[in-house]
Amino acid sequence: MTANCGKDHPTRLAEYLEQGGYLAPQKVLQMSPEAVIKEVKASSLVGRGGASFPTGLKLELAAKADGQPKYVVCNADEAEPGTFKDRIMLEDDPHRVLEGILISAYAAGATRGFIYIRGEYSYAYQVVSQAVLEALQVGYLGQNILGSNFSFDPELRRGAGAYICGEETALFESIEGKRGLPRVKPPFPATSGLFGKPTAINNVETLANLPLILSKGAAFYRSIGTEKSPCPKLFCLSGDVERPGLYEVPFGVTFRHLLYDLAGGLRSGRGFKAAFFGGAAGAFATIEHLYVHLSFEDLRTAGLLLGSGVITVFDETRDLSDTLLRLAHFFAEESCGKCYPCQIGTQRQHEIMKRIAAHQALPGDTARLQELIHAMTAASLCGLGQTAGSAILSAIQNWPELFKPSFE
Amino acid sequence: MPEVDLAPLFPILEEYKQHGRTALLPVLHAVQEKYGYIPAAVATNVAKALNTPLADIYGVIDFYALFYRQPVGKVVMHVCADPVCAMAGAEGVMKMMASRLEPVSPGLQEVAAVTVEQSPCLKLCEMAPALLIQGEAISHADTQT
Repeated sequence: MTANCGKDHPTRLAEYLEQGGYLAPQKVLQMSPEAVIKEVKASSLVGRGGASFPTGLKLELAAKADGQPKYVVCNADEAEPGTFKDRIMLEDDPHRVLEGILISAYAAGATRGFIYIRGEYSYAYQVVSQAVLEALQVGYLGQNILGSNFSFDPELRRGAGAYICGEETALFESIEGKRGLPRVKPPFPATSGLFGKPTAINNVETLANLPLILSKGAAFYRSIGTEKSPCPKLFCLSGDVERPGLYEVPFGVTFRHLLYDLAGGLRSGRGFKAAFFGGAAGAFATIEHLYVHLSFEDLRTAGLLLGSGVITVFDETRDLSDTLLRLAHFFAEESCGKCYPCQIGTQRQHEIMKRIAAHQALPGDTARLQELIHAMTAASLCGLGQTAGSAILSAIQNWPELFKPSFE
Repeated sequence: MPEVDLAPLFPILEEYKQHGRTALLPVLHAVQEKYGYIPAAVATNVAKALNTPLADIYGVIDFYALFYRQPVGKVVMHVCADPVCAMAGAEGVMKMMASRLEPVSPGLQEVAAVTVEQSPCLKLCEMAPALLIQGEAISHADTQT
């Protein structure tokens, strides 16, 4: 998937074609949309944005839903702290993502599409705009693609600095010209999404998997990874590692292999304290988790989260209460304000973390945090509030002493 | 406040008005780029052109961090404040930037040359600490850069 990444320039159309690009649409346009969906289902591809919903099923639900026009959306509002995989894919290999959204449109029966790129990604926006023009000129996008009856020309939209717009329904609201406030679900996007119409929305990395599945087949694709977690996965390693960056590995490798063999281990030879898995809404791995296999099933068993593939590493000198404070600040800032549990909960969480990070914890702060986080998780409208406290809960479990007053 | 020249606005509205409200964010991005903020007179014209209540226009401007109601510096810098960049020294970069700039009282008609803001994760974690200067990414930022 990352064959064209890391070359210090975007892969232009000519180079992409030389590498075997746009072979999938040639096959796909000879197939029925149902057959394309069947192949995607057979691959077991699940969403790469963090929610891990089966992609084939998502396309099928949109294809079968009533309503026209249908839409496909590429969610490039990558804003989870620590993740940058989508930025790299968009900047280095935009045509792979375009190929993916084209395939998703054909499968879902969508005639309109949007690529929603985070506002801060001005360079990625320029690169993708250029790629769309290139594809239009040669006929891989636009009217009657490759001589078929299928036409598709995605519109690019820029976000404007709101993490919540990565939530699918908030993203729709943003495209519709409103504040990015999430909607109540159900109904789900597949039946009622953008402009109230059936919509299949997918993460950049998810779409980037589709050309490989459709050109080489689901069987080949499943030969990578594990039985329950087939396929390759992009991991974003950052923090106190020797070689931070984007890593593409088959599911199933151990965390130790990724951290030490590939990323060079801890910087300056320091000791490993913890690694944060999943993004702002994630969980901490400790030294006990070094040999955990990186797959959905193994991480779940270990009480960790794959999320979107973020792994931030902390060495022995790091003060985790500062990290938790920054994450709490992040959620308090980014909460959209629509529902009280999150709006008030993230504020209270931040207040408590401020005093904990200043080593001024009050007696009972641990219980206070746990209660408030449980309330947010149970009662918030969307994933932001539901997971805003997961890092803190994980830290309470692993380092309870961080949250106690110094005299205890 | 000095009167705002609306001439640059009209071509923008001509291009987008047929789309109605869905064009609001693209219009505001274009306005932000042209004017450096969203002037009140511009907001009023945008509301009319897109057939959208002015209150909703302001709701959108205030909701999104990249749209400004007040003039910001001619150069806007966003310094990442999230964990990975903090671990790599972003706080030092931020403090240094803030100390080098002359304070500007709010309400002054002069626009500051530079606005420095803290930002959430800029997705340049593998090259921390990171900042954006007028939307352009600067990575491995240190006090020298």
